[in-house]
Amino acid sequence: MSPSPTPAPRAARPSPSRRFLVVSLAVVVAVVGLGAGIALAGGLERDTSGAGTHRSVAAGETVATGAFDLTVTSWATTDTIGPDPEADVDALAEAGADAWLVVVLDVLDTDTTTRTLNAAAVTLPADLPGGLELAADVTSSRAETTLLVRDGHGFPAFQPGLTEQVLLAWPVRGDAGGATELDVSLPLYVYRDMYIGGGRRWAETGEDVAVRVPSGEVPTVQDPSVPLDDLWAVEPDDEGAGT
Amino acid sequence: MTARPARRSGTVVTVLLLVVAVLVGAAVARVDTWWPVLTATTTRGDVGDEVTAGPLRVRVDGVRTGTLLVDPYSELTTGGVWVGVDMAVSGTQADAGPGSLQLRDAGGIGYTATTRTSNPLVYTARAPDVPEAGTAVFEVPAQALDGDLVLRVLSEVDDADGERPQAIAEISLGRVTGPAQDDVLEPVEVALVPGGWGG
Repeated sequence: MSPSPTPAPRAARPSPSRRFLVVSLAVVVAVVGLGAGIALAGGLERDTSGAGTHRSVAAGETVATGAFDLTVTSWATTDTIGPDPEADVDALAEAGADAWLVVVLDVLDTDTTTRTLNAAAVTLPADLPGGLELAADVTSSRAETTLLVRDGHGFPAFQPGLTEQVLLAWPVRGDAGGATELDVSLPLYVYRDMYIGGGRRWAETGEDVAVRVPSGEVPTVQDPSVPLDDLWAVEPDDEGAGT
Repeated sequence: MTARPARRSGTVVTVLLLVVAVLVGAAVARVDTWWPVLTATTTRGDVGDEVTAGPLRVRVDGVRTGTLLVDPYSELTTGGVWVGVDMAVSGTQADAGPGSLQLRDAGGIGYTATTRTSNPLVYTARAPDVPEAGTAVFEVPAQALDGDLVLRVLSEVDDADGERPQAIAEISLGRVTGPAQDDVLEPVEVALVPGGWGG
């Protein structure tokens, strides 16, 4: 009779304490590695989406809205805004409006590149002061006209670091009455990745800052053009041409 | 019979691979911010050099500044400084013109050529190897002149918001001296360069 087979000697196993050490070391490495990975990918950064705050400032205070620092100074209603009064009157008639509602503000590009000011940089309230109402097809959240006060340029592109005074204008009907205050709001923007198509853009956060604006004078928009000499005059060096 | 130790070390290896995968993924997500985007299509040069960048050949001849910009139709003031870059542009294989002209200061801030005056060197296509010379006008704050300036000639589009592979010429302008109080900048009218590139 063969003796009952004894089990083959088992390979020596590491002691439980050694196994515990290896496993705990692996866990520590895993946790530290994952934590480092999350930190590197930006998961531990402060959430800057600004949820829930709705600020209110006085006119003349500078508001950082994202790509621009805006300082709203005054508002007014006026017939002419640009250097060409006739063009303004025609534009008003076309829009079926009586006057322009103008918001005056200082604009500073704080980004690292040249930017154009979004026409939605200033939003008018739903109820305009006095008996004013917006002319047809005009929205309170987008100005019809943006003008650089320095030269009347209609599509200003702002250079970083240069503050410029700007007029934003909406065609309106009616009368402001004696209204002296206008509550406008400035939407806030954040520079974020676009997930479709790549690239980045300044996107609205949904938050805005309210500004109570006093009425005031509309600054005169400068006209930089110089009187042109007779365009058909013969230049001295053209005399030999065409003979 | 050695199955158990292999299984244990297999677990450790799996965990380690997981950690490495997460770390590498995070690094790859951030690598664009660690190294500036520099494509093989960026060509560098100095004032006076003929620099070829893909479809464009450019040469900067000089830089001038002023506090008042005078062109035939207007006199334009500024809160900063007018910088005029006298340069010649032509295509190489076909008609081409810059998609965007930009000055970059020592702080990395880019100033696109101004739209307050017509800037005919931008956008307009020039024939291959038939250079036309004019002045590209920029408006910058005075502090931009405190360091070296670089002219960036982008062949297709402004690249502030996206990385689009395109040919770019970067020409070092060095330190540009600011204007005296009443200096006037008059852009040179665009004209053919006599003798072409060799002239």
